[in-house]
Amino acid sequence: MRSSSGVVVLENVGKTFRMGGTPFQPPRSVDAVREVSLSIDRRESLGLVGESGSGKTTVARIMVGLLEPTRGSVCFEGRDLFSASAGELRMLRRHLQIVFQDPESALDPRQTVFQALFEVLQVHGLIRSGKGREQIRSLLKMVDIRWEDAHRYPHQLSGGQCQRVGIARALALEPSVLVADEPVSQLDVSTQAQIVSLLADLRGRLGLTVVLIAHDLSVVRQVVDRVAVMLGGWIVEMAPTEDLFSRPLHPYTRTLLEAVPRARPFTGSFARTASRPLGQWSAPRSPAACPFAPRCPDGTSACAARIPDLAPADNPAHLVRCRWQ
Amino acid sequence: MGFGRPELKSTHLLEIKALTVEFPMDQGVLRAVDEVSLSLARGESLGLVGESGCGKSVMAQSILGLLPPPGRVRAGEILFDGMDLVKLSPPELRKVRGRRIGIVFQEPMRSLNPVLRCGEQVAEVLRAHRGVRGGEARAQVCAIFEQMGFHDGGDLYDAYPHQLSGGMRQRVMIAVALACDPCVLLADEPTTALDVTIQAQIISLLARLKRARNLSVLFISHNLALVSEACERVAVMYAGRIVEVAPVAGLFDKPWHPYTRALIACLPGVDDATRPTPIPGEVPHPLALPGGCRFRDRCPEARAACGKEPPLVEGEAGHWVRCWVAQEAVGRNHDAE
Ligand SMILES: Nc1ncnc2c1ncn2[C@@H]1O[C@H](COP(=O)(O)OP(=O)(O)O)[C@@H](O)[C@H]1O
Ligand SMILES: Nc1ncnc2c1ncn2[C@@H]1O[C@H](COP(=O)(O)OP(=O)(O)O)[C@@H](O)[C@H]1O
Ligand code: SF4
Ligand SMILES: [Mg+2]
Ligand SMILES: [Mg+2]
Repeated sequence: MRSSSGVVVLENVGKTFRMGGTPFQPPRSVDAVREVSLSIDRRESLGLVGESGSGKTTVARIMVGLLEPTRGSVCFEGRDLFSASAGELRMLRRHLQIVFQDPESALDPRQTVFQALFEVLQVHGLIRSGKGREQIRSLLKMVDIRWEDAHRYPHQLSGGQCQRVGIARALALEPSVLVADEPVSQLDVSTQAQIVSLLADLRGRLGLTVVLIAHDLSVVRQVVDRVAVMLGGWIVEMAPTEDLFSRPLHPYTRTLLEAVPRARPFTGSFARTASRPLGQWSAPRSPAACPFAPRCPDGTSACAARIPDLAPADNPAHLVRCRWQ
Repeated sequence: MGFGRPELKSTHLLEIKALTVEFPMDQGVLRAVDEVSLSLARGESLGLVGESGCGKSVMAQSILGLLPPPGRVRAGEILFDGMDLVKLSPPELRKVRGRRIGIVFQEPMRSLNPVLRCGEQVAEVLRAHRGVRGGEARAQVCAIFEQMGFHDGGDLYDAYPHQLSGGMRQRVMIAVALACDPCVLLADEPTTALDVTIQAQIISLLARLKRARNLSVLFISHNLALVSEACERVAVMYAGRIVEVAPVAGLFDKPWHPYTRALIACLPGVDDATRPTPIPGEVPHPLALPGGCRFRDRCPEARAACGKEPPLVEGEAGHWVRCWVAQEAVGRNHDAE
């Protein structure tokens, strides 16, 4: 582990959702996050990547104080979010903003862009007298939304524009940490490039700490300093971006890398994708199993019994949870 | 599979000629597809790419007679096996749809019936188009599932859509689309809502099925990289118009249209650290097209001549482009040869 001097520090965080337990449904529980420890430096940009259901959103919500973990602790600038009083938590949360995946539904359909931003500023008492309009103008400028569009409603905007407004709303509170939860998964490739480069620019300009979540490694490749790969509620590999892409160590990371479509002419052979087994794999038997074991070409019975620790591999910053590394 | 397919008459299975599709709206007539011509040969896979709002889905919907009101085909023909689909009555079209042309959309949850077991949904198609019933239908459905790489067709038969992951549901949709052994498959962003790993599996499944059944596939996507892996030929669409058509290799070798080059440049490269270059601005709304070349406002090459709309011309055999500057450059190269 890195030193815990980070701006956001998660220590042994776990989250179990309990459901059912009604007369009609037997109680059931889902371990959305098994055990995540993570220290994010000030002004760092971290990519959090994994398939759907791997626990990314749950980690994101815990990280910004929206969801209390079942186990472990979360600190922002050294203060424990969940042992803080309700008032203090509210204060701390202002510095930790999150942008969600579905840009349109994250906005109130009855509010124009201007109204949405005005409300956020007002609720937090951030309007400087007589300056509201100016503040909104500069927020919109920051995310490249034209002033003419300020009086539009979400359904009159494109997906990319909605996402920009979502980012502007998060920035209105002048956070120090911005968590973007799959901000580009629903956008087309050209808009993805726009939004990702906007986030990278904002981080530079505002000195933000950014957590960028994606299911596609190629989305984070050019804009983050470090990548954590999640699977089944665990971080299975974490490394500085260049190390991860040049020497992916966990077989799941390699699967993710291979899955990215490359701009290369059709060969008709599909050697790349056809070699992978199709879909269907059952959940690992033991709750402590490596979540990749059922799909892993190198899996052993030891892997199905217990996932190894997240340990340094070729260098101290390159961590991996695989017994072959 | 063992079903005989009715013999088809022309070499091009599907031929779209000067298709124009409009939506009459309060603010004016919205022309979403403007004189588009495309053809699909037997056993060929053709990709249709462009940013969202370019008219790709409207194209697919008009082929199938599924245009939402008030959309209508204003002009043009859609020839399929000697018939003009535009002229068919709704019941005649229903016979073609599903039976001869299969469809897969982006969101399987919207196309699948939530209260019907997955197997039943496939069996339903067999019943409607082939009159296969009862135990025979179940056996055939399980065979289809197994052909698609499911180990236990029976389990899947009895599952409800909500019990499945997005990728599994999309496979069920593909089974529904292919149940009657159609000769054409229209896939409109079939993997856009899925994780990259699942996407890779679905693409390879489609490729395998295409080869095994000599299917013709029209594959629609906003992602040129994905299309390049899945298709032999690509048509690039911009603001309702086709702006470039070429075999995939030719397109990457010589992307003539500035829009095609922009689509390539904005792809996130996973193998190197070069930042993708976003395309500035957005696709113009069909009710607010710039005069002349529709890409003019965003085009780094634009010049005075671009105030007039360029025609689609064939620069090399099978490689078409709609751009004044490209046209001139290709012409110069020809002269030099
Ligand atoms: N509020 C909730 N109640 C019950 N289960 C949940 C809840 N939120 C998430 N989960 C489950 O936790 C797991 C991880 O979900 P999530 O964090 O959303 O993953 P990701 O964002 O990587 O797709 C999934 O199995 C999901 O179904
Ligand atoms: N039902 C409809 N009513 C009015 N306009 C529509 C309708 N469907 C699509 N359009 C318009 O047609 C254009 C092309 O849309 P579409 O075919 O969905 O684009 P794509 O699939 O390339 O993203 C867009 O400008 C869109 O607003
Ligand atoms: S015709 Fe002109 S504006 Fe249009 S793509 Fe070519 S160079 Fe650009
Ligand atoms: Mg999520
Ligand atoms: Mg579409």
